[in-house]
Amino acid sequence: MVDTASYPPTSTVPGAPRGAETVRVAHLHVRYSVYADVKPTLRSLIATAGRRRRFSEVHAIKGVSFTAYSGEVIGIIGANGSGKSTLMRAVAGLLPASDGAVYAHSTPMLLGVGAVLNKMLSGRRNIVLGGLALGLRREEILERENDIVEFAGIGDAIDRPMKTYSSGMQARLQFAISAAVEPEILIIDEALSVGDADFQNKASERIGQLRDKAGTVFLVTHGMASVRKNCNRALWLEDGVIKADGAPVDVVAAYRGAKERDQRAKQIDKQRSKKTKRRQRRMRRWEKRRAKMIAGLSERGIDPEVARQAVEDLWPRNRNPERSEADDEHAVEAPAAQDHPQTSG
Amino acid sequence: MAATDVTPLTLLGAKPRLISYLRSIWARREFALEIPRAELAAQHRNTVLGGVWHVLNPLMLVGVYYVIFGIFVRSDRGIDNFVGFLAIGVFVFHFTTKSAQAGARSIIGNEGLLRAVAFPRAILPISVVLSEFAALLYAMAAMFAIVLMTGEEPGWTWLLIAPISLLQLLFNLGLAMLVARLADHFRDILQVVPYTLRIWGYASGVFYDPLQRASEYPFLIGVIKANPVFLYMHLSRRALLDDAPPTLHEWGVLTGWGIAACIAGLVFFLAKEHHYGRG
Repeated sequence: MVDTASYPPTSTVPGAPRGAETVRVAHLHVRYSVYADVKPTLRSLIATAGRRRRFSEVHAIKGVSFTAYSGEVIGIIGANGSGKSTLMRAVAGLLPASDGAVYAHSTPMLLGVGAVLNKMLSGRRNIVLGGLALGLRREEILERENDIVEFAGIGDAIDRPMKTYSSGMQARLQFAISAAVEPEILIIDEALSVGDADFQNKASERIGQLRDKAGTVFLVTHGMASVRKNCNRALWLEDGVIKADGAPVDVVAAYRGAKERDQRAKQIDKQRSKKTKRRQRRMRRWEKRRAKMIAGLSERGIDPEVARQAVEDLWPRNRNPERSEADDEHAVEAPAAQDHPQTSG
Repeated sequence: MAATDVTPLTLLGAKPRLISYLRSIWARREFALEIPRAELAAQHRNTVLGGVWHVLNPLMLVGVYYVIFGIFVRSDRGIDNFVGFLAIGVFVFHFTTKSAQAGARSIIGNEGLLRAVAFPRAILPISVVLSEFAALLYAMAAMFAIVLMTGEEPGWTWLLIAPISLLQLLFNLGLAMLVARLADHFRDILQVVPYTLRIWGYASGVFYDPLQRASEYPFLIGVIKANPVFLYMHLSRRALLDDAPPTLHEWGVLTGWGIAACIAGLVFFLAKEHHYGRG
């Protein structure tokens, strides 16, 4: 059962009834080792003589569980770095789970066909390449070619090399190819934000169609309006944990509220830290001055211990610095005293 | 748990078994063929001569080797048709070199693709080897032309080039998958691969006949005759220049290497299937 799971054809929408389970994520953990970006070199392996290197881990997804049903369009919201993309990659089977598991009815498709397209070739040629990458057969692609071209809506540019396309045109073509596959489970990771209003509407419409065909769509976005418009469920992810799961209106409201609270807290923190910093600076300055005065006094033959005691008495450490008015008395002995007239005010 | 009775959900990211993996590769065969085709089409647009370079490149190498080893070093002693001998060696060896080099880059050079689209990862090393095989077919036209021009008569043994290079293709597929995983794990491999291959090729006799050199050391002959890269060149030369077919034993060794390399490469590559493109 397990071995047939890896690459079932994604090309058809099976006749799953509405409301059937399509994806089940169970206690999913995804950990990256920080050194994963830097593969061990021969040198480092020799240097550590085969000992296991200690590496710090990034725990990107910390025990996420949810079940998605057919007919759901699920908006994934959360701050940058909250684990949205990692979660979606894991759901698409592109990242292995460190712990827990992802079960799916058919292989979920991440809208990312752009990576396979060849910029030197025409849009039309890339439709074939992209379609094949997504698991369509050649005949199926040729059948749908006209629809794809029409949906992309980039006119004659379809026969020009893709390197001449704007990012919006590329996004259109990419979405058109992916949508033509009619995947049962589609994951759209911030791919729609580059398009213009016309394209956004078209994309919304297509997402609606996929939903109506008993598919499941995941939509990762920072646009709260887009979540409320397209989704019928929302997941709020923060720091690798699901903070809220429910109706888009509620989840978006909770997310917004938290964000505002956060901002307020940050502001208060900032003010607070400004105050303490100022205080610390003042204390440091006073400490310096005391040291200088003691040094000045002992230079004039006064016993350092006595001098220290005198300075301590005049400007006690734990008292309010406002009490240090008696400056002028010692101004002669301590030249440094000249540069702190403002402290009293 | 609603309506799981329709079709049970399946676990994603489970390590596929060999047979089902092969089946999934077969299901994506059109994709595997389209990658090199698109790549070739794109390359053609970059250079004036386009695909002709696939033939010109090894041809120029033949020229360089001829100047060095035919004129200066004179390693052609005892070889009747040195130009033909050299051409076959260079073209046949070139196929393995390029396969291994492109295979090494096939995974680490496609991180974006691996992070975005799900497909059996072995498609990548396989497709680059297929692309090199296509280049070999072009090159073979040049090889036959050279052999004809240097005065060889075509015979039925010429047809044996087809099975010999198909068995080499199998070996190269395995080699490419092996290097692809190694290079994904140790980037340093990329630097080492070209030199290793060069040594291997020189040891296998791209421009001299190792059997002739080793005639005084009988134990070496066995080693040489077990070296697949030597066999591909040696047997192609015998078929084209001496009109002699490989012996049954030699066929056995060739087939063994092809199948063993292919399966070993696939199994080795498969073990990390879900980890490619992560780092």
